[in-house]
Amino acid sequence: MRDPFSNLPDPACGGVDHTLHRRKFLQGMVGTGALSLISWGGLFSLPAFAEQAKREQKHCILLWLCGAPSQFETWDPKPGRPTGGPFGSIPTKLPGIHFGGLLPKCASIADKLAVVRSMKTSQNEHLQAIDLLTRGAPPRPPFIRPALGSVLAHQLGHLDSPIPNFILLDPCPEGNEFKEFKAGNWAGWLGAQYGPVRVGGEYKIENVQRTADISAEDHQSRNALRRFLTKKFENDRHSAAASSQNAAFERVKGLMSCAPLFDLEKLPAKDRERYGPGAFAQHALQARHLVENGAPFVMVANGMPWDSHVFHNEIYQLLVPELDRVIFNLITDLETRGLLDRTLVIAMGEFGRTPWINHARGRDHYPNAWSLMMAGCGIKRGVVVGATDEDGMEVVEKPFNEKNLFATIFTALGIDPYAEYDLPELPTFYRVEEKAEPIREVLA
Amino acid sequence: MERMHMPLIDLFGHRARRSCYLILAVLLARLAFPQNAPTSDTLWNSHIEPLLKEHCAECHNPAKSKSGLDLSSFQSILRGGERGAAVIPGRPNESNLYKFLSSDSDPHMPPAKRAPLGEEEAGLIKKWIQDLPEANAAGIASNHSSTNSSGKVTIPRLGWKPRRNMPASSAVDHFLELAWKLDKIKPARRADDGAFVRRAYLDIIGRIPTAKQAGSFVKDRAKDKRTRLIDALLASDEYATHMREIFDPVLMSRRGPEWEDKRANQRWFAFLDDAFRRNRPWNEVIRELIVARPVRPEDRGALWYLYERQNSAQAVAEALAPVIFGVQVKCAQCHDHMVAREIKQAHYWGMVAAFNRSKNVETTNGPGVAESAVGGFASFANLKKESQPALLTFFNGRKVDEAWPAAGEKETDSAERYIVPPPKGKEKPQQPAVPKFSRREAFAEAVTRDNPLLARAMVNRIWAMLFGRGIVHPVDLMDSKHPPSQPELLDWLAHDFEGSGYDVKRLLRALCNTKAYQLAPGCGKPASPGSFAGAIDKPLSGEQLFRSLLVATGNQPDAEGKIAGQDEKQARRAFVAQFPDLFPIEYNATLYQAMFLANSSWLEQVLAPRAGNLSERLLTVREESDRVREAFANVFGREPDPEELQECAGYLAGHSPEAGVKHLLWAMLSSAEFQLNH
Repeated sequence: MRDPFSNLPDPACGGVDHTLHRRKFLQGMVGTGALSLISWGGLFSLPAFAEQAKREQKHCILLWLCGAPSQFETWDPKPGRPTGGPFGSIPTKLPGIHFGGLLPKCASIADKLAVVRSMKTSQNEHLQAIDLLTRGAPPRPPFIRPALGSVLAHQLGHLDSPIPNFILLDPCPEGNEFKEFKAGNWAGWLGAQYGPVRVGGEYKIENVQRTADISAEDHQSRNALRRFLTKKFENDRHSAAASSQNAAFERVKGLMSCAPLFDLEKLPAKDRERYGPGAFAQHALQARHLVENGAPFVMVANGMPWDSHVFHNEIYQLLVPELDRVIFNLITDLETRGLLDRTLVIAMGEFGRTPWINHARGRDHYPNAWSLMMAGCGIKRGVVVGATDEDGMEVVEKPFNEKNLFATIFTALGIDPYAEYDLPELPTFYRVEEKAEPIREVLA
Repeated sequence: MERMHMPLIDLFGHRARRSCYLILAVLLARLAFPQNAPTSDTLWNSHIEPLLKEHCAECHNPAKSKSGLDLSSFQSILRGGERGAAVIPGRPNESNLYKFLSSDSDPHMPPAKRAPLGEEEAGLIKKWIQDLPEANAAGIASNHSSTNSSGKVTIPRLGWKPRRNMPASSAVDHFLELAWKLDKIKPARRADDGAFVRRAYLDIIGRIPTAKQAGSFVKDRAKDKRTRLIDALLASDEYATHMREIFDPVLMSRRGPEWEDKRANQRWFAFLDDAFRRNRPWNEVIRELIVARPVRPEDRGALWYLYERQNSAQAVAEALAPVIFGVQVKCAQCHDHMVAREIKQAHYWGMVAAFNRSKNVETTNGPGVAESAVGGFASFANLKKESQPALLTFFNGRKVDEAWPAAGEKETDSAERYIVPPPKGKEKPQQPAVPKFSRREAFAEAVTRDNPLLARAMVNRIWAMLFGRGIVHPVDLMDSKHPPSQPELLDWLAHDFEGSGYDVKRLLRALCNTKAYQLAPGCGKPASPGSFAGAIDKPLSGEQLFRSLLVATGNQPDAEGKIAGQDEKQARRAFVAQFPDLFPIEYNATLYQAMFLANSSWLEQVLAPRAGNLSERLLTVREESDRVREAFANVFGREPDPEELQECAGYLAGHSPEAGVKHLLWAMLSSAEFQLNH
């Protein structure tokens, strides 16, 4: 991959104090009564405080398997059944539990994962289902519910963070309905500032790179001169517009200092080999790196490769082993870095795939009974919830829908799932509608 | 009575003004409410509605309607909620609206997390319910002024009308001065010549003046030089281009380079350029767009307005509503507008019906929009799934009568229903079909003739373009929930614009010649932005920024149409992509804009010294302080103050000549003073 950030200085933004959660601060400081004594800037320089906030920062990585992966080759194998496919199943670290035969590495860490085998949703078209499973509720036009990433950016991030609060690593501009979804409004009623910063492949953060014509010192000094001129204008006229410009340039400084975090070349070659070739795997590694450096939410996607209407088995023979390797490395890495308990990892698509094989040797869309995997922050380790019948046609045990899923995600991350959105001229909306229950069985 | 106030003001000396206003206020109050004793009606207006708005509207508004109760209007209160009636006229102690206020009531309102109503406020509600006549409560509702649906009926506050033949600019100023006096607002001082010349250039022709143009204007000793400058700018070709660059996005919205190319090729831009250059009456321009059957070859581009929307009558309706009525109607697709209740679902579908017989066709003369003489009798369903016919009924109250076929009756489409019949075979026709009864023409007639809303919408938009904010703000939400900040001024301006034959240049000329337009920026805390007592900062559009940058840096396209190695069109588009907003509701510089300015390699090239540009000229100036002065004259159109001179000259001293000049110019061009029209 081309390296858009190679001529930047080394990271200046690894500092913990940049990635603090503002609300956490206030809660903590109000408790000690110290808020009135110390200036805001002073707060950030208190090392003990920053350390505590770092310990409390929660993260989420969403491995968005767009196009919808088949449950049969992943979490809910039906070996020996006509619907089961050729890849069989393998035993896992959990007694009596089998995963699909192409997931040996995940099987070896099944004691760290939680699998839900009884997802049952109602949309079987990509666009509508992507919308449903990334926002957590059916649409109610003209109101646009924020996508998961935007809600988490709002809840776990803070606006003046130099590192973006919602990062979408997605190298592929195509992907039919996913392309259409991506062009839409992610942040909805929370506002554009909670939308994703899209990076990966051809997608770099535009203009984040200093041009070769200017040295780092000059870049900095001319910006200081700009700030001086704008500040003067602002002071002379009490111009709010001018102050918003200075604020925007401050954020540029922050983001530019973070740019090296997006540079894959800067990651150890060994790590890159472990995750394996391909954008999806490399981006999963990058997501780990971003989370280590304070990013609250990273979504890793890759077009819509899982949509296997044709030659299903041939395609999955390539895709599932990659997924196996990625999940294994990501979970183990987060664990060894002490981050797994604060980082929720979710691997899912927008629905499952049909038990039957179509004439083109593919599997079609199937929202009726499908599976997903979660692990990490707030999630019980080594658990499988729900069940489908012997052919995977129907959920026979504990059906869950998108609302249950979102209630689970929010609860796991310590976010009130039923908080009401309190925005002017907005009808009553809740973070999760209808007080839908979380999937208690997977919550730690 | 109206005429009586003015002499009072003029007779009293300065010191007596305050008491005079008291008298005025009383007089006005009586004017608005002719009855002597306060009635439930006056109490509603003066106290109850504001009180409910403050304490209850957050939950009990039309959209939220907690417990099914909406307390935003008298009618909705009478409807009650899930707990039944909210008020029983004459019986406050049995009315939930009053009962729930008591601290021992369950439920207790407002809920615990909010401040409770004071005793006095509760008393007012009690009295109001007490005074409501029991009989015919619904009838009373219609008399409440708050239920006026149009949002146009305004209680006269200023009580003044310009005499006939008063110059429009003086009339505007007098309206504003009266309002400032009433609200005890002190307007900003007059903008100096340097500020004025920059503002006028940016607003009228879309770029800053060159240092020479600004300099000679400032030196000019003529008393009427501002008026003359305004006239000269309005007469220039750049005026037409600038207006097109504003009204293309307003009418069509920005859709990126691909569509920009199509609009250019289909002569949509040429049509707009021509319309503004020849100053065609605005209603005539809009009529061309709606009818889309241009006669003169130079108007061909007009049909692109419908054509680009590719047979979507809904897209046409949604795009037209802000232009012809000043409102957004998208919400009314599925239901009557929940907040601005006057916008009905029937209005939405009435507009759709005006265009649902139209179809894009290819003719031997290029694209065209045919219209059928039959069909298009659609129905729409509201949220309760009740179906209604989509009649030709419009938001301005106008209707077009049209016979509907009886149920089961099949219309026959025959040539005698047409002026230009549709082609029989598959061959391309010479002209698109034109029916004898054209819904488009009927609609155009209803909204471009005797439609005061068309004038109001345009006046408000031009006002926003010049003053940084509409009299109704945001500009295209001119509904009952967004009252104008200067209602009488808006009424008069719209009427005047209509009376002038929708003369756009005359309107611009009048507004630019007002004292209000020529004020310095409002310093300190703005009293209220809608008072227009000081100039409001306006962010430059992408086009304004791009053109001004070229003027300031002395870069012009070379023989191949390239600027600093890049095609002019591409360079402009890069700016428009980063700065797309026009008429922003609230301006906020974005991270991406700042990054674009900070790291654009093209901008770097523009600042590098090259034949005849500013950087090259600055390098020939010997003294650093003179370089700074020259840079300020070109970029800001003014002298640096001592502090700026010291800072900037110091910067130059600390760098190589070429780097110093480039960075100084970058800092100035990226600063708020350059990025804003102030």
